[in-house]
Amino acid sequence: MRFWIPGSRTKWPAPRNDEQATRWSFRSSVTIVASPRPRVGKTLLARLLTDFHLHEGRPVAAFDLNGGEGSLAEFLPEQATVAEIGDIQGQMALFDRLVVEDDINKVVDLGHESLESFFALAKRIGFAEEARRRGIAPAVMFVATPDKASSDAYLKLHIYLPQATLTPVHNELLGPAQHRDKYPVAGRGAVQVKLPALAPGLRRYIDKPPFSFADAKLANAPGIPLDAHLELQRWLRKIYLEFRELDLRILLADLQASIRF
Amino acid sequence: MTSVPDQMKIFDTLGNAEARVTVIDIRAGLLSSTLQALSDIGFIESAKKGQITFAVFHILGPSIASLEEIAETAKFVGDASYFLVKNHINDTSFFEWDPATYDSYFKQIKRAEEITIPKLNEMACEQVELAGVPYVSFVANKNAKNEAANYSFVLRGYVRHWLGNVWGEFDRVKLIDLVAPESRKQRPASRKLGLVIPGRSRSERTRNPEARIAFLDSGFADQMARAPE
Repeated sequence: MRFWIPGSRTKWPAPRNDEQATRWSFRSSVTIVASPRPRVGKTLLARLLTDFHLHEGRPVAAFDLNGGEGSLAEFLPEQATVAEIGDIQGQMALFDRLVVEDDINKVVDLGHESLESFFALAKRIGFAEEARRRGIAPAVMFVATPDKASSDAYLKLHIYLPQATLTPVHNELLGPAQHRDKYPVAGRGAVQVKLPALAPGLRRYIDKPPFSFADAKLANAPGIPLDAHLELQRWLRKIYLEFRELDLRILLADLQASIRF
Repeated sequence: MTSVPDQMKIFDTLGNAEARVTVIDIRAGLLSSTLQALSDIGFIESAKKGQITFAVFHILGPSIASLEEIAETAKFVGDASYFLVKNHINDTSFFEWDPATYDSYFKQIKRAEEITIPKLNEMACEQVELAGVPYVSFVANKNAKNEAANYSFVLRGYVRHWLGNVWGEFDRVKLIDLVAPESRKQRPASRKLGLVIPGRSRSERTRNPEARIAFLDSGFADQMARAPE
């Protein structure tokens, strides 16, 4: 995953030549939020990631392959576009956009039903290679669950997208993570990310679309009591800290690689 | 192919042109007359003597009429390498669901080898047609002038994947050993001739890669060695 874009706080080193440019000088990122399981927090993670980009002042576009009620497009209608990959027109509309060199970070909320077909198609058309060639960092944030189908699907991603940064995400709401060894990280600097559980009773405040965590009006929202608002902010800070740490680790790893090169 | 000047255009260059592989794409309906012409000018005899490597790619369509041409063609090709190319322009199975029919055609010629050309997505195929460039150029996002083009990344991916499978088939039948065995031994290659016998319709011809194999030209062996995936 790469959160940096031109003009943001963090600066990446300038590439020394074209070969290096394909290796670490990313202009933007495409982050795919995935899991073969429904209701494990994929859309929530995609919302948080999209809002994190907005919070950091970075342009972001989100793509909703989850559909249905409570989808990303409902929560973030201004940023998210409903996408589908059932036919070639839909595939072109999505993937051709994902690899455009427009310096816009992209977030894909991948429904569990589309996981297999999405990554099979991505491998078939060489998505990750093309993205890297264009200075776009491909990344997958995978919501880890203890079941075998999920860990198998995660390991398959190493085959489908060997060029992507694979980050397992442990959603604390799903219980304590006892399965970390099943989800090895992949890609320079990648680490496991923890999605802290939201305090009971606060979920109702964020589950009614449209809703953006980056909304400046959130602080004054009449429907959210002050204590709930403060708790939400604490929760958000923890998550954003996780995102920033991941970002910095990847930055450091890339810098080290550039020095060694 | 039936007129002497046209025959000269093709065959008189065999000894002195730079290209090491010559591909002839024959229009449907000219099969018998072409083979007869090759016989008349002693070409098939030269192939028999080993002076020329002669290969026939018989592009088959999913119809009985197309399959019936196998026996007729086999009579002419003699000692040439004979490839039966199943060109999947749609989701046909070439009568595999009927073993009796299938075997009566595909098991009939013992020395014939089968090549399966997988189906290319229709839209990708049409875009390549519209672009008017070889498949390799389309994949590389280049137009006819070798300048950067703006083809869909998804369609290019489909074509690249398909082309990789096609070249995989070429590798499976060891086509490179047939057309340029010397290049593997680091010696100059001798003149080869590949002959493409088309399917019964234009779409069958244009969707088969052999009809476009000319882009490989003298770099054919190298290109084959760099087949994707």
